[in-house]
Amino acid sequence: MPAKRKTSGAKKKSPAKARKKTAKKSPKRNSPKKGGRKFLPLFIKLGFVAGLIGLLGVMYLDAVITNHFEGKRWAIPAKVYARPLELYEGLAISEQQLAFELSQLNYRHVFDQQPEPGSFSASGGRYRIHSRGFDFWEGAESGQLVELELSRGRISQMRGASDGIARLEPALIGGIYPAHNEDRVLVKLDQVPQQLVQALLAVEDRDFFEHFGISFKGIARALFTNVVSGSVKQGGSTLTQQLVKNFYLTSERSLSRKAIEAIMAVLLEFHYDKPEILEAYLNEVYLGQAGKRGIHGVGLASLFYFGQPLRELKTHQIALLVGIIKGPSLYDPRRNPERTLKRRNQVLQIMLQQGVLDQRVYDQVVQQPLSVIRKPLYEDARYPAFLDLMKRQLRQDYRDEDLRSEGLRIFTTLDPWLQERFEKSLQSRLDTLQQAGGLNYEGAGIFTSSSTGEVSAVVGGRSVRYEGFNRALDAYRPIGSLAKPAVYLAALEQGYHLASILQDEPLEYISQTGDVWSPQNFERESHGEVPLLVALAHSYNQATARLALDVGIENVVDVMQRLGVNKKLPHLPSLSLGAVSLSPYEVAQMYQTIAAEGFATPLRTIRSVLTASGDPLQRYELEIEQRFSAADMYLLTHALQETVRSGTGKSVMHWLNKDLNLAGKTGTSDEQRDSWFAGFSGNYLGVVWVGIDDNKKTPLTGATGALPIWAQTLSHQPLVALQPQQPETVQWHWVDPQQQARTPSHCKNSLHIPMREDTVPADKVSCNGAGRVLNGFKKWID
Amino acid sequence: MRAILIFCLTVFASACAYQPVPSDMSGEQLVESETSLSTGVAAADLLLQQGERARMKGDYQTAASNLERGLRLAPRSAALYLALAKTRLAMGDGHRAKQMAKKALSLLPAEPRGEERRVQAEARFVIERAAGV
Repeated sequence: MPAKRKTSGAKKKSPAKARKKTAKKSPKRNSPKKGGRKFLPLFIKLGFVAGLIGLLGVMYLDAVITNHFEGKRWAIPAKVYARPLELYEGLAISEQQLAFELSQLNYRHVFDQQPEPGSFSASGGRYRIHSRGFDFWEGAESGQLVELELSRGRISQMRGASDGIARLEPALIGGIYPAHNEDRVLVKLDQVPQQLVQALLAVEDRDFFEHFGISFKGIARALFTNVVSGSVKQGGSTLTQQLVKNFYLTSERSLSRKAIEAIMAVLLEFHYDKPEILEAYLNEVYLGQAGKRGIHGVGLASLFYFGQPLRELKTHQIALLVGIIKGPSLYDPRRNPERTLKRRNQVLQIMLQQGVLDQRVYDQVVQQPLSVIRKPLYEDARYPAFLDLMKRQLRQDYRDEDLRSEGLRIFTTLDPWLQERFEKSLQSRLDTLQQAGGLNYEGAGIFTSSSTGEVSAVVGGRSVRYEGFNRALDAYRPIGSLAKPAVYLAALEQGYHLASILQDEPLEYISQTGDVWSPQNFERESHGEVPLLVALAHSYNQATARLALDVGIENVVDVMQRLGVNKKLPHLPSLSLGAVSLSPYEVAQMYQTIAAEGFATPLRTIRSVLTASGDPLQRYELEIEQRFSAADMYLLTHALQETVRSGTGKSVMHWLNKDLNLAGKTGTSDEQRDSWFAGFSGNYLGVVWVGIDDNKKTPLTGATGALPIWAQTLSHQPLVALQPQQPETVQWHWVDPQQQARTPSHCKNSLHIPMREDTVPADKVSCNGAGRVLNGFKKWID
Repeated sequence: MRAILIFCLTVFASACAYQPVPSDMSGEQLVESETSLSTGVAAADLLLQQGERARMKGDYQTAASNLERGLRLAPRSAALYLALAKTRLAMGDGHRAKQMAKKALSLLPAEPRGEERRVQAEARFVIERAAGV
């Protein structure tokens, strides 16, 4: 801010001249005739020294004032927001979710009245919602009243939204704070409602525009009021003095501090003009406390108490804010509503007396309730695991210091509804498992948008609010059968098809060091010849291990890396059965490529970053890269759908409709130390891990530990069925795996499968007396 | 007689629905025009239009932001991916333009019709053009 600079030479000159004069006169007065005067030179010298010290002191204070007031005055924490909820016709959303979203944003439910910004009315599936204004990446959006009708879990009709689409403001989910924990949202003076300034001056400093930092008139008025009332009702400090006290000094109450405050107030007024001082005051003033965070400035206080931007405050809310200044703890509207209401009305009374309000408006607004939102817009550390991931991604582009001080506004991809359901499902399942088996289970996982890679929810452990070890990112555990799709994908790329016959028989692999590897199936049984589709759906270890050796471990490694695993992988056959430790986040990255039909999509938690003043700074763009052919991915997805339809993941159907055609894979590591499930619908991908921190054995499989959490979480979401686009190089055929030949439809021994056109068997045979059934797949699983 | 009538009506109806890619339109002209294939979600269609207009005005950041917002509403829209591809191409980012165009192609049916064919032609043109960027 440009400081108003004045030369202070004239002022500095006069005391020096005065001292010279005094020095010249002093020898005359030092006469031996008057014995009492013999100490006069000493007094003069002492006076001179004291004056010099005083002058130095003033110069020091002057330097303090200007140094601190120039440039950046405050370290403004970064603010982190969840994704905004978009409302439009056709949106799949349950009443339960809509109610949750509105409650997250502290919308008030109103009855028999027109909703104001930040409130809504509801009746029989019809909602009238008045959004609050918000500054998005694309620009400021004003609050608007939308009317919508929910029917069968969708918005069937919506009116009032400009352009047919409306969005609620995003929930504030956290901040990145400076060490002193002061939190504020900077406002410029022209963004502050005029009425707020008028009310503030009427209550705190009526002579603000006349005085020079201290107001004798104000002191006299306060003295008179206090003497008349017999108690301390009014202070004599000007806004400038209050600013000096808050900005430069401690809260110590002493005469010397008061004197310094007065000098500094004068100096501040000397250097800066009134609007600058007023703006600084409005941003500095302390207005409340949220845990460790101090709420400073009217910009943040407006959000903290009303959940609304400053520009939208009504007269009674303005009066409340001004009233709180006198004692944020005493007049905390949440803790002491009655006392605070009296204080607010006192402020309204002053506003009336001072002509800020007329009688008609006063009569109206004095009847208003406090209108404070029940709880502040956000609690810190509500979603610590998600924020942890977001900060790690943010630190690739920003310095820690900037995050803590530049007031950046970070718009993330967090879906609070999905996050809450995930947390509840995980906690409830782990409680049940612990009660049944007495083991102290832990769990973690991640949900994303299956096509864009936006991270919707992250849980880092059973204590979901705990900011410690984030298992979703840092717990590296063997992934078991979650590795198998990589083996099958490598095989499909080499010309295998879903009906290719694999041998599920015992095998021994002797490494170069002489170690013998001899994998077993989970049920300790071998299944002989099985089609590839069946081997994956049922997660047969021996068939998979043989297949991995056939396609080459280096190819399996290559596929895993192309899927998105960015670490060095062991070139060992056991990799095919998941003898590699990955975090849930890494597994999610790997499965994201499968869910996005072969397009690798980096997982993202951030959509955009704005500066403190709302200017666009950076957008995190959608990045995709095709790593696999659409045809091979289509076939693999079909096999993973079969896994959920009839294989190891079929218990998903206890929670979710089979028409959703979900795809997924269970994973269980050696001795059942880890239980995994990774799966996706048309719109969500989720990866869940369950195990014990000290790596103990458990009785769980992927289907009994992690799968129910995954399915329960998604059972509350509006799911889109998984219907990948069939590529032009893929055709559906009935194929007899034993004969490796096409057959007529519905032959008992045949599978109806998608095939890449270059792998379709040339031979065609009849049903061969085997008869016809609805789907030959049943034969293979029986 | 009735069967013949139904057959004739069907043929007539499909002829009306079919809009071939204009043969006199160059790839560049295609890319410079707005994509009009519906995303399947009215609100996303609107964001597609806004994105396309911003792109044609040269405001690529706004264009990309609107189009990605549209993708959150209609994640399987080939039209939105194509519009993103065109935006990237206009920004001189050949690699990303190509990837977005490939994604658009992967979301089209095996036998595209009407506007889908136009999207297919444009996406192929973007891939071709992106190679030279």
